[in-house]
Amino acid sequence: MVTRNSANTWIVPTVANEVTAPAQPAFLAYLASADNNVTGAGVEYKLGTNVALTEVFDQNDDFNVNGTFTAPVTGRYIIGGLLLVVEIDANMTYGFLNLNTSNRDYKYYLNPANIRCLAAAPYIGSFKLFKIADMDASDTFTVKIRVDGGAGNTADLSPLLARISMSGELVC
Amino acid sequence: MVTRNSVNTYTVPTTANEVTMPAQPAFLGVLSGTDSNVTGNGAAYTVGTNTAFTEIFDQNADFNVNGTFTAPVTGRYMLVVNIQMDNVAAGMTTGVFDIVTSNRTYNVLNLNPLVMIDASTNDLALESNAIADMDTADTAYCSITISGGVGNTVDLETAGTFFCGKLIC
Repeated sequence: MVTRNSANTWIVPTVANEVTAPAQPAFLAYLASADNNVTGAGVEYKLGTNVALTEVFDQNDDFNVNGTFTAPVTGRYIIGGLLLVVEIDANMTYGFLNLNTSNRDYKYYLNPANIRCLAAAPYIGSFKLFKIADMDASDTFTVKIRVDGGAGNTADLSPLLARISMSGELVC
Repeated sequence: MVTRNSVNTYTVPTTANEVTMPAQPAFLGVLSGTDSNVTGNGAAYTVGTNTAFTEIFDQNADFNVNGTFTAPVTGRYMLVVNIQMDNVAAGMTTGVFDIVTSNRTYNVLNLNPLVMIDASTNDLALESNAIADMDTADTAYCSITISGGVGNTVDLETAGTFFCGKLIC
């Protein structure tokens, strides 16, 4: 028998036995307006710093629109980031997406100039990464992007179709 | 106490306390065969339209082999798509890869497919995912658009093209 509280608000099966958990920590937030000139010459930029994110959902209220998720309990979390970078110059040949947690960084390296879409100026490219991460209570998770090699930090984060987002969920 | 029915078929712990949920919405569909000439010159193609998926599993029977998953209950869903392309040809320098839900489109990848292909086979496999808010009866499917080629000559390969998802909370 599963017990925690008498009201049973933490796990809600339907009559068809589908299980939802409305209080389970889970969030999705996206960039609703342009965040320009954030990287390109080596700056590692934290998503949400200059332009706040917009929450789609934030079960348990653990996400701050400045781009920081704080784990409410020790556990394993699915965390992810998806960024659409615009104005990638030809000499921006080094970069990474960083899922930054208190315990460790999870980095995805690539050559931005190599993946940019050439036929759809102003040159855009996607960075994305999902991981299962160990987080302790009060640990934080942020998404950072670094593009390097350019003459200046002229690369932008585009809000088109909510293409920039970060998300997470306590899985166990 | 978690109760809905007396036999508790929705969470099934083992004696070692591993928990399975045999009725939880969860699906995995793989492309049943090569899907030829679907994109390359700007055609937006919904995966599953011309060549159906084969279900590996479909707990709760919410997935249609035409590529559409219908949420049976409001919640948060993890959706994962992998697409393997063949015949990526000259000029195909723009690729857009979407997971489309009723609430929003997750533009999960924008890239230059031409520079990422396996040069010996012209193959390219890509994976992406999203945690999506879906309401009861909302749908989700995958779309791919490759542009810049002289024709819609890109094929989708069965070995590496699949769509899966799960209700997570």
